[in-house]
Amino acid sequence: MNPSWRTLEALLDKHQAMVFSIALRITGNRELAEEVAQDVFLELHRRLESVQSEEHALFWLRKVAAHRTIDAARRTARMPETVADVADLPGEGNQADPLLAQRLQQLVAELPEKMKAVIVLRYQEDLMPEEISQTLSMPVATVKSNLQRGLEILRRKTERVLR
Amino acid sequence: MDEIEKALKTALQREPAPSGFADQVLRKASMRSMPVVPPVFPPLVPWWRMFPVRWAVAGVVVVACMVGGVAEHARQQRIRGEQARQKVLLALRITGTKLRQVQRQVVQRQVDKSDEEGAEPR
Repeated sequence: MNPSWRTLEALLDKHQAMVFSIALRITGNRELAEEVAQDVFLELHRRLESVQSEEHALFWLRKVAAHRTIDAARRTARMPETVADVADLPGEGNQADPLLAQRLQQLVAELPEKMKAVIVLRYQEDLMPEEISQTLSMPVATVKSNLQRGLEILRRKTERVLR
Repeated sequence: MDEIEKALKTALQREPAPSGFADQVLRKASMRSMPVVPPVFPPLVPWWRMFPVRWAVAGVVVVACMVGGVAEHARQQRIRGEQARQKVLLALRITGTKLRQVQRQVVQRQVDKSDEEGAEPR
């Protein structure tokens, strides 16, 4: 008999926001994010019998969502090739938090895919670099390097606002 | 955690999935889970026993026989015609030969008669 968590419905109920948000932050496109998120859950449905625990399901969903979203973002969007393409935040003094949040979302969306995925998994999912390394199949040193560089870019682009 | 990291945690909070997202996934998953019913084919009948095929084969045979018969009749006609032609030619050759023979005989007699009249005593 299947445990109560090992149903598609239960896993959808618990994790749809997570999967959708990962896809949204990395692609920057709601329709594409929804499509990718659906594919992730349908893939999970096919492999449901091999999921061993709730933690395993969570790890699997994050991993597959991140990889598929990065692939989708590369296929569809014209992503900035270098960080120099990321636009500066206009120096408007004290910006309201929602506007800053919106602008940060935009700046994160304009980062290179791997760097963006690292930032999202760190600050949306609260994963530590070692967990991000396992999720993205990336060396821990590379994760930390992407994290550091990404924060430097975002800090530079927003420092006029945050002071 | 510095200010940029705090701002990022706020900016990157999870967003809810679109309305109806779960229902759509469940619907697609149930469609994929439906058993595939193999198509039902009628029992295999040898082609020569199929009704329309038998009549078609019979029709082809009849037409073939008719065409063959007509061709044979025409061939026989040609042969008979050729034979008649040969007979006529033979008859003409025979007639021609005879005529020449008769002509030679007539000429010879005339020559002989002339010779006899010239040889009579004075």
